[in-house]
Amino acid sequence: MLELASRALFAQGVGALDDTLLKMREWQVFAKDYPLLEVGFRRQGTICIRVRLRCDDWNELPPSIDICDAQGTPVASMPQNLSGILNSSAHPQTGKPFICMRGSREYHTHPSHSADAWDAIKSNDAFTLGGILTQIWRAWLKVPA
Amino acid sequence: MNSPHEHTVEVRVVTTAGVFPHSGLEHEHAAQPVAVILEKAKRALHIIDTANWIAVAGGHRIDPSLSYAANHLGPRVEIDWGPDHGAGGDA
Repeated sequence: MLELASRALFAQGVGALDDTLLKMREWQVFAKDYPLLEVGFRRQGTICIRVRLRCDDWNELPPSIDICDAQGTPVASMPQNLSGILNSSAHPQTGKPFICMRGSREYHTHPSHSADAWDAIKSNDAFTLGGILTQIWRAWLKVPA
Repeated sequence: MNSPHEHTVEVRVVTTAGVFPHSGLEHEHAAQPVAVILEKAKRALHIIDTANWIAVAGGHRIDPSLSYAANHLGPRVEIDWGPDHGAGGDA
């Protein structure tokens, strides 16, 4: 996809994350300059984790996703019980733990899921930038405080 | 005699595609299924596929097929509507 089109689609997705939504969900946007979108999730008023989406070639490709600590450093070990979407084993391409969920680049490039094509789902409203963040956030809410 | 306002709720639907209504609140009958306003929001916000979406209000998941009253909602309701958590891939 042309970078110009990717940037426009990225801006549209980021622009839809309006203040009402951010306040309601206690999300904080730390970065929204293409290709990075980084959102922190709060619990009891404190940022607990940040989710960093690297959206180069969006949405020809799904975002590459890092889970980071409150300071923005990628975590070495993932919170557990995240509805099974956190895979602590090394991804064959990145060598790091990864988000093993439809909508994550690491999922769709994993040999176990190569048949589950991003192209088949990328137009679904659950797989917009906000939709992917929502799925991760709802899983994170299930992690015991 | 009950005030008519006792039978209405003020509602806003919040999604990652936008907020419905864009400003202010919708006035809905308390006996009306929540699904009615979700359908309005879906059309207004140009959302196509809401399979596997859930509605949450006041920190609790609600049943859109039931009324506001049956969901114990009111008089002012903000509904967070979006996809449920992703499922693990067992890679």
